[in-house]
Amino acid sequence: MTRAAGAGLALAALLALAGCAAADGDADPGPAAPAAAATDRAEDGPAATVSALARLLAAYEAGARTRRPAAAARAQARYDCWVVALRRGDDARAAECRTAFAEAMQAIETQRLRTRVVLLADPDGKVGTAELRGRGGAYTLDRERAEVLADDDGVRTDTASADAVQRRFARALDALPQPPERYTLLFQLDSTRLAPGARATFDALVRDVRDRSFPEAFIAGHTDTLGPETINEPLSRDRAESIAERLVRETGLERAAIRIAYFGERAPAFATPDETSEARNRRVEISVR
Amino acid sequence: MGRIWALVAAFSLLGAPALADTVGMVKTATGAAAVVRGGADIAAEPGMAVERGDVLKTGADGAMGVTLNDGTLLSAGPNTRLSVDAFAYAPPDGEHSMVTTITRGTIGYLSGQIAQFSADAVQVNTPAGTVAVRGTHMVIAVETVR
Repeated sequence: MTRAAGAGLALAALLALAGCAAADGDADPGPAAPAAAATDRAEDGPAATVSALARLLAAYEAGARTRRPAAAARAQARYDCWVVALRRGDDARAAECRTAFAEAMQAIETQRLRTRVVLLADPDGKVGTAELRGRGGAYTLDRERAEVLADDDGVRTDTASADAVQRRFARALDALPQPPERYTLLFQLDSTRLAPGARATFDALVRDVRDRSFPEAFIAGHTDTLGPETINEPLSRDRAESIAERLVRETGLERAAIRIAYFGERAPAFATPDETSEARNRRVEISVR
Repeated sequence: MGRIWALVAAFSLLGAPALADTVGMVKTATGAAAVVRGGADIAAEPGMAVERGDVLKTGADGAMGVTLNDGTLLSAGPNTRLSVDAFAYAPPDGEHSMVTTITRGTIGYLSGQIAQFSADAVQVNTPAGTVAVRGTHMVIAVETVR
């Protein structure tokens, strides 16, 4: 800033501190003097504009107008808007401008940062969506490697190359834990014995648990709707327990890393009328992570 | 849908009071990696619980990954600071939310149940604004520029 402008600002600040409002139409291009309206409130009244001006001037002294010209200009414009609104007694507008001023000041006072968001395909090849909601509006990402770059100067969207994603994010991506896996084991009628064919699934589950570091297992037992709930609830519990015990025995998984729940016939995989034998509902579901 | 809820609901019933603040577990950790809790740095190790309010912090050679209770995967690359501000997962009532904040570094994210069942329940705060995630896989960097 020029020396003259700086002096003008300092003068405005002094006037403000002395409780005088600077006349409109000053040659000074700096922020308006704090308002001396009657409706002073601690948070957003004229008293607050005084400390806000001090804050803005301190930022200018620290070189904000060369380092962060856009944000500095924005802060000053919002400050002026705030003061003018107060003078007019437009409280709603004043509050709006005060908030915008605070945001601009935050941008000036914090380090300059660039935020980069890149959407990727998940392990199944599926691409979801993400939306960045910032000062400049909302930006939706919905294609593989769609990228949004945002900093104080604005927001731009692009498509990142696979190489660039690797270069920037290899360490973070490598550190992602293994995704959870889900297994369903079917049981014989009115029994805690696995159905024929469930053995292969159980073996895959065992291998998975063994391969993970610090695995956890969540086990839920179910029955079909045949028979009374007074039988089915304990049966679903026993099915879940039997799988928990076998997992502990065959993988060394600690009991503390297992959580069990049981539902009797209340949560069927396939809805059926009551008193229906349905093999697909006689099951234990396991989530391993 | 119904059956997924059933599995999901099963475990929400079992959360012991002592575990109420536990929102996940550290699964991977290399180099300088810590969990900041109550102002103190605790060296991150696989198997360690992650609590609501924890900050994942890594140094120049560090990286770490956590699995949250809904199956969400989160990771931090080097020189990263990522806080787990809020995490609510209480199916089947529908009260889910997950709020994290990255202030520097790089993170990886892969959706769990919360993002699947509640649109807009997952938010990542960044210096440039809030990222609302509807799934499923995403990376974010916060870089310092001159």
